[in-house]
Amino acid sequence: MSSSASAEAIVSIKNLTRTFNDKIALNKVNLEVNRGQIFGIVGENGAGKTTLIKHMLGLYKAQSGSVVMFNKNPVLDPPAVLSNIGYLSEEPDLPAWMTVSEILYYSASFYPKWDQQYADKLIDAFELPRSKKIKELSKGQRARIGLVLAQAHRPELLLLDEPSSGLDPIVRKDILGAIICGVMEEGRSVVFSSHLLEEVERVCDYLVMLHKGHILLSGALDDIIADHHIFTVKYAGPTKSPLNLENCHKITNLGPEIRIECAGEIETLKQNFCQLSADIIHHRTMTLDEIFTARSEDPQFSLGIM
Amino acid sequence: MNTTFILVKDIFRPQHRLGVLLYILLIPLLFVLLKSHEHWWSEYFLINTNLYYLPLLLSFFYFSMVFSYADFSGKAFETGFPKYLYLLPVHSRKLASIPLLTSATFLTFYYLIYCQLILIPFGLEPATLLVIITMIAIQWWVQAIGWAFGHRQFAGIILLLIVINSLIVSAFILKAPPQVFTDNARLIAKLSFAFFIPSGLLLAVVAVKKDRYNDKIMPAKKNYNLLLPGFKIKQAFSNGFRAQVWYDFRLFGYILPAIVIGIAVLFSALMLIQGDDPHKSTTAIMVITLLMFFMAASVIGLEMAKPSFGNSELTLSNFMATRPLSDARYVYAKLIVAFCSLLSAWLIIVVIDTYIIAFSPLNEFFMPFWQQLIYGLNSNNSLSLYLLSITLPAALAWVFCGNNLSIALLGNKVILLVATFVTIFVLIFFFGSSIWFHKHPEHWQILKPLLPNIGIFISSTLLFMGAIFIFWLARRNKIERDLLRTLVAAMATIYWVLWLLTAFSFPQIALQAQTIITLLMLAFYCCLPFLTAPLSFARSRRK
Repeated sequence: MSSSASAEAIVSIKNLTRTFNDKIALNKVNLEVNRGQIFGIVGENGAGKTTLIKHMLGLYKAQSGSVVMFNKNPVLDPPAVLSNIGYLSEEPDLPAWMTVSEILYYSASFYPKWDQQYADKLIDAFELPRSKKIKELSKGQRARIGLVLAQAHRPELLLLDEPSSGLDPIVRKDILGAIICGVMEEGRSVVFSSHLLEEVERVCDYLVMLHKGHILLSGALDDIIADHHIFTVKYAGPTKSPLNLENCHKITNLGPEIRIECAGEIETLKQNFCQLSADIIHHRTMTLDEIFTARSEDPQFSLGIM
Repeated sequence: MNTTFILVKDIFRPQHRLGVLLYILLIPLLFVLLKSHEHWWSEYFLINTNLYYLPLLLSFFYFSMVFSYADFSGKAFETGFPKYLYLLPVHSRKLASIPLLTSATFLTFYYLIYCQLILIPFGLEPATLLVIITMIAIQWWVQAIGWAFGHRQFAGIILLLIVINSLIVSAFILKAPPQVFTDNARLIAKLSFAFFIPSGLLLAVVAVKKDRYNDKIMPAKKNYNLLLPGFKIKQAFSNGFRAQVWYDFRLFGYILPAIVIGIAVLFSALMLIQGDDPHKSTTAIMVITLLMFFMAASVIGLEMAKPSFGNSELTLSNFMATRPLSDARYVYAKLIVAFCSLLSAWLIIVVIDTYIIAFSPLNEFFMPFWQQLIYGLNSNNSLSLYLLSITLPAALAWVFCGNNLSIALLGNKVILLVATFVTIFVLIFFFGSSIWFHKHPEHWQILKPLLPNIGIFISSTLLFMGAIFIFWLARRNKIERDLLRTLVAAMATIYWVLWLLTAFSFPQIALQAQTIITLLMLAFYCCLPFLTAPLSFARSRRK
């Protein structure tokens, strides 16, 4: 990603590599998250999203490369790092035997900055029954209590590992609302991994796209979308010579017209088509979903946005 | 109104008056009951099991709380000198000494009446002065500590100690003991008279004086539980470590005491129903009880590393792994819970066993056995041997529990499986050989001089096995890539060896109990889990 030198990096990952039984989970990953950013991590199952987040939490040791959180090593100093992080996973594995009240008191004990009023406000807003045990709550309620626990100590960084996976739209809306509120009101940073690209598109400023442990794409979301295009072109002359475009992912022949998915500066691309005697009939930018599909199918489809 | 009268009257508060009256009435009731001992059931339960002393101990336990100005009910138990009495226009010396003198007078008369009505008519020879002095010493210290610390958990421990002390008194002093116990009893009386009674008085006066001006000797810390954390929480703890102690106690802390109570109840029932010849199986039952305790302690050690009891998983949940707590503090919370749980369970065993010995015909069997043990070990101090016989099994159980916890925290199922089998093997071997040697003492006599050589042989074998184990792990591609994992696995293996040696050298430790080196060695083994467990946990928390 393009990081401004003036911005304060709270997450700095350099050349991080991780293997599990000879299978590469992460390969020379570089990442920097600055204060106030909402950072999305997208990728298919097994792409390395959770592995990357667990490195940030200090639950995995870097086999090579480095992970620095808040200028500290999360493996060597877990209390200092974890006290600044609010973490919510796909399946919040909360202790099932605790009641909602107990888990609030228990969690509050770990964080000097715990804001009980804020926790109460969220509990009331989410209509969570305080006397019920976690195991008696629905999946949506468990996700909500997980969200309360992740936020009530007002962490500097909210780490959300596919938090809305398998949840209904109302809970997903709550989670997204919490992310936006946190950033808007307090300048908090968020790292958010998700399968649901629509969500990522809605809330994230920056994006990293992982595929089999490699970073396919990384950068500001607006820049990424602005640099991916779908052109429908038609040759001016009778000869149908093959198109030879750089950064071209997919060419689909639609009879007299050709559909081209490609990346790059819009003006440069237009000039290229002009040189090839191809008339542009239609143009639009790609959706994030289309970019993800295109990138995953053809990892060689490279951009210079890194 | 006279201030002395107010102070005395306040001891017998309305909520305690009925209780005190009932306990006083127990004496004539017991007298009537004993007089009708021609009934088969009274003969069996009272005469045969020596239940003469039970009402005395129960009433002493109850009175000690009353005299401490403690407020106790089914819901709450609070100690501390009542604040409103500080408004009385008297010196702190008088405030403290009146309740102390009241308790001393009351207990003296109570015991004298008890002797006259119960003990003497039935041909027992009570050591009157000795018991009175001991009771007063215990009572004054309980009062002083209750006022000095004002801490309900601390007071709970003290009350537990009262029970134990009372039982010791009843088991070793009251029952016309052999000469060696009489000597100890005299020593206790002298100590009580010369040290415990005056120091208890002094502590009580200082405590009241300081508390009167809001200056506690040791102020009660909010939400800090010394022995048993509460079951429910109603507010956040002051830090994460205490929250973690509570968390682990909720999951694991009550299991071991519950198991022990279950075992104790079962064997107590067995002891009662075996009737005619209880001597036959006494040793076996005591050994089995100890075996069950060790086994339960070992299992708890293994289980405490898991997310919950009986869980097959060893991995830490993300929720727990992301608590902002250092590895050492996380593990120390578990070790503290394990220690408190084990201590509570052991105290229960000691209390129940002492009851069984004191109030059953086993006492007559146990005393000569005990005396024989003292002479056999060339010990001239029966009290230190008694304390050692209490602390040594507890320490050994802790070594089992703590080391098993360290091994289980590695999070490796293969290692855990091997550790489980080794635990079972060690326990069966150790207790099996104990029973064997008990039945065949001639074999013990042959083995005894060979014990050091056997120790060397076993340690060499186990070190060799440990090296093979590390090599095997390396061959399975488990450790060769990571130096730390290698070191931790090696350490776990070495500690196994040490731990096994501790188990095997138990008879040796018992024989050489009074040497400082042996005790230091035991202390070292007891401390090992505090060094190894954080290393093991660090390995499993961060993969």
